[in-house]
Amino acid sequence: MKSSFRISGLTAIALLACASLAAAPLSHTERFVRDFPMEIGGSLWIENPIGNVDVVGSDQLGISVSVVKVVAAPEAASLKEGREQTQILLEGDNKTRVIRTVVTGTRESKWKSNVAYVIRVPRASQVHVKGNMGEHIKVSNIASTVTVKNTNGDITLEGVSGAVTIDSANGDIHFLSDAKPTQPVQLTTINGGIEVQVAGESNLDWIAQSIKGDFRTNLPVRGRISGQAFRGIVNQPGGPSMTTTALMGNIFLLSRGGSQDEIRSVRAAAAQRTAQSPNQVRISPVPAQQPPTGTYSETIQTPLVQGNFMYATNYGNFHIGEVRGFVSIQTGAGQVTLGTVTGDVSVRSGGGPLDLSDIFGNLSARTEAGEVLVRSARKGGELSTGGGTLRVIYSAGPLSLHNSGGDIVVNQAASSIDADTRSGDLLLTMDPRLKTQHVTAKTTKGNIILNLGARFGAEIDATVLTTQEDAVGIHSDFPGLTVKRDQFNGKTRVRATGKIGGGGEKVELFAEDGEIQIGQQGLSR
Amino acid sequence: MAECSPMRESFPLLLTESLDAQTRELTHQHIESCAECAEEWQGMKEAWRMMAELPELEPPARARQRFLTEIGVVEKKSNVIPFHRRPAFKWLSQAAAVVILAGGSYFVGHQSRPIRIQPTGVANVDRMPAAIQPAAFSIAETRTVNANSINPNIEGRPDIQNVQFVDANPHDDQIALSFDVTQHVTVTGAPNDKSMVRLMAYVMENEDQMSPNRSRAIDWVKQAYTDPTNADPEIAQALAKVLRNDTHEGVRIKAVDTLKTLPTMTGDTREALITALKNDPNPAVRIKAVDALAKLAASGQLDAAGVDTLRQKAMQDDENVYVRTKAAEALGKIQP
Repeated sequence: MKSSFRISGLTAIALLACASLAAAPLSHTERFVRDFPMEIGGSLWIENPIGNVDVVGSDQLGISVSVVKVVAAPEAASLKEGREQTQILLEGDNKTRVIRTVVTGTRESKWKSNVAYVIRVPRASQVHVKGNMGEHIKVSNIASTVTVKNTNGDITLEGVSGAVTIDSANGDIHFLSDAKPTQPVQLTTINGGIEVQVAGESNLDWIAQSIKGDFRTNLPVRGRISGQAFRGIVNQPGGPSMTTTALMGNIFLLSRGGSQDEIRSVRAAAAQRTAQSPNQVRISPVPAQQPPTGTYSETIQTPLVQGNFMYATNYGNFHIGEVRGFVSIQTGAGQVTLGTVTGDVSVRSGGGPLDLSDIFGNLSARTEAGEVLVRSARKGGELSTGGGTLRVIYSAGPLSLHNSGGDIVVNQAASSIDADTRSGDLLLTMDPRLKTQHVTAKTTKGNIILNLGARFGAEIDATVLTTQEDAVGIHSDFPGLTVKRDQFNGKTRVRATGKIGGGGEKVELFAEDGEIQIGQQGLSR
Repeated sequence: MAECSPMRESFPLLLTESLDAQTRELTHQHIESCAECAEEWQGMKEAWRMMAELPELEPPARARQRFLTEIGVVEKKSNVIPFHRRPAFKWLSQAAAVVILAGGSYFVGHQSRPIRIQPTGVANVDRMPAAIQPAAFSIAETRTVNANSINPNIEGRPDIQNVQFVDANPHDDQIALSFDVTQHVTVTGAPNDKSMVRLMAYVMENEDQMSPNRSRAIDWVKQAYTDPTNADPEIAQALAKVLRNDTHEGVRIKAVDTLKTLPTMTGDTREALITALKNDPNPAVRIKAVDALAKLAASGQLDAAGVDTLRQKAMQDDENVYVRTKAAEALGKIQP
């Protein structure tokens, strides 16, 4: 009995082991090497969307391609499909060699494949690599032109003395050279960073651009910062251009083998010298005493600021719960979210949405692009956007609203409104308790809907300019308006004038290519 | 059928609304009774619709002028005031109402039990292929309804205009009255009901509507169609069309904002987003287009063209910095 238990137990273990083996992913690895003749000065083109590429220049003639192709799948049929649909094509002639990985599978395919290349070429060959999702692309010891483009994965160039063009979306770029560059180098990454190491005595015309990052160097540099870009001379003039663009990352231009301690921020140096000569930067070989450079772009998030809050940055996002004082924010771009502010608010943004909750003081806010939302403006304010919806939930003070493209919505205004939009609708609702208030609203493409309380009195002057000959143009729930129609500049002009509610402040409305509706709140239509 | 050929010849004129009323009615009646012609008509209408969606390119002014000169046409502004179609005579509409009321009264008077509306032409419908079975109610420019399928009681005071009497064949016992009727119609149904989808798309795309109506229609779409169970590619396509074509920037902002929230994205939708990001003059539209493309990038649905557009946008020096950073952030979300 005991032995039969033991046997059945062993059988169960064996079955489980078999089952787990069967469930384990399958993989297939294929390795091969091919040699081809290649002329001196020939060019090599490599396209590999799914793996690493290593290209090494050598003094030998000919080209040697070493390939490792790995396919993994949950079961044999998918594995077979993956092997068939991951093709390696070796094409070209002695002048131009083309190596391509062609993957015909879809996102829904169960298999995954990866192809890695190690290629030896004559040093004088031109090398062009197009990657996509590999971990790295490395090109070393090449004396001719090199171009590399990828989406993800780091790119390293070491000992490359020809002209270089690198373009990556998300990868870091490393350009390492013991020698002085003699050919133009252009390195671009959007979300990665850039590290350049060259001989300390290199002469370079350095152009660097970054929105969020900093420019740092331990080489002697003098130049000028303009917006997000720096242009300067490294050592002596007359060197080749070194163009480095890392939009979201930092850029390092370093002396090969130089001291890490001597690395300084160009932006910080520029900020220090601003008072003396605006924007001019000079970094000497001896490190100057600098404040910690920290981050150039930032996200400031805090629940409470006791006192005033003032900040200026080239790029920054602000999320502040409460400020017990006034606020002054200037940002080249970024989101601004403010909760309660007891004092005045001034916000200037080069682009990005503004979300302002409860502002007790005077409000002045502008963004070059994006939506503006103000929940409560106790003293009213001036708001504008270069494009986006501009919305005020409640305002107790005079409002001045400008939109370069988009709707303007005011849910409840207890004071005057002056609103205009280039293309968009205006939906303005006055506080129902108001007896009169001045309103000016203008749209050059869109409609105006003005909702007034039953007791609201005003002197209305509403004009619609439209291409529709038979358009009614102006609708009003209030009696007492006189409507005239005429032709103006080839369009039909409808103008309604008169007093409503016994008269009051002037209400001027102008809508082009749209209609005007003066509605009475609480009146069912 | 022998009459099919002349009927089909009048299809192009029917499409362009150039047929006289009598021939139009006859043609519609034939379409409803002939399966082959109905199929032909549907195909032609679909082709016409697709042609209407193609972008209209304005020829350069100089080329246009040269062409007109060569064919001997001189462009000049007409001094003639266009003649507007006058509404039908009041007595005619009254006569129509009397005819309907009298007919209805006669019908009611001869019934000994409550009136029940029978399904129209059941026997005929049974013989027709399923694909061309007429719907119980269709929204169309014009439609022909058998009098015996109409409830004889006229409810409310519908605005009946442009009444015309049609006696296509004096030798049979059939006559017809055609008129325009304006009435308030409420169409109810599930959001994913094809009729409802088409109606929504029609309201959104109809530029004759005031833009608050289009804006509101987009709000309703956002409310009803962000639920994946109601997803329909036609809604996404309609929004994409609004995004591409609407001249009202407020409406375009709403369209792209809603497109971003829809669970389904077609190739056409992606293309509209890419075009908006590249070319729309309004920065808010571009910001929202980037957001939508970022969503696609994160789910691995962004194709190479989309990735290239994001790269170009991130590197575009004269673009708003916020749009550039959003494009960069979207690129950072790309999944293999």
